[in-house]
Amino acid sequence: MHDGGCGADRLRFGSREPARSQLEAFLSVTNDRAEQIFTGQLSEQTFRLRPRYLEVVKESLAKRMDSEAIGDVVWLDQSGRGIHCAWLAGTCSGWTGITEGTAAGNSVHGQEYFGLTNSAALRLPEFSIYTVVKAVNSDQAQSIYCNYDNPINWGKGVNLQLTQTAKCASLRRMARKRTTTR
Amino acid sequence: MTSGKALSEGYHIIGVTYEGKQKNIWVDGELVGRSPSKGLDYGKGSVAAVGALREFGFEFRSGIAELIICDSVDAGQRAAAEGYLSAKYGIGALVPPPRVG
Repeated sequence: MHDGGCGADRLRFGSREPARSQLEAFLSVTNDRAEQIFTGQLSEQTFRLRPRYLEVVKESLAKRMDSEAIGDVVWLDQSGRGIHCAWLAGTCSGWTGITEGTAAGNSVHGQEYFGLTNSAALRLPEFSIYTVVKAVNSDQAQSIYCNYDNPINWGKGVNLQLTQTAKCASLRRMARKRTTTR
Repeated sequence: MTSGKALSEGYHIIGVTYEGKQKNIWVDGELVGRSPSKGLDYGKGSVAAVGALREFGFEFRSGIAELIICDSVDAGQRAAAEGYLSAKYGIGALVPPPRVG
């Protein structure tokens, strides 16, 4: 019986009892893993970037861009001074950016304009402006660039525009009463 | 001040300079307007805009490819800027001829 008892114990625990160090190592690993899962450190092991998830992220980003598009910077200042153009009115459909080698990239449609983000920095006593524009017939003057104010219907600042059908370029010092009703 | 020469339909390089006593307009490298100038009064509330006279209208109805604003007036600067735009967009006869030999 005494041999059988010993034999039964050996069968229950295997042929050899685990070393204390092995048991401690096992507990250490499982405890650490449990703690990591609990604290979120192992969340990446169960998270997969599945196609559907990526689609949802893309849709969300697109919706956010659409909702925030008006007023965002869409034409960047390339001089390094950070005076960017922000879209203030109209829709930006068709605004494809500047394409190297062609002037056909950007067009406005009579309903849109940009506001520059630092008008004060552009209140220059002397200046030079160089621009590439497409001249078209119009029943009204077309403003290319201005730094303009209209306090009490009294124009101040400057305005570079194309005149009506003659399409002459015009640089106007706006220091007179504005009579146009628009 | 208005240029004395009408622009044909299509893309053009327009250059304007404004300094204490004089203002000028060039179209495709040709001087088309010059007149005396006075000092500018912007007020404290002027807003710089591209494509319209702000919310007051006069919207531009066609293409604006590029706009460069400099805080000085200089003949060399103008030649460089117009040459750059001409070469980039293939407009006018401002492109320097290729060197031969």
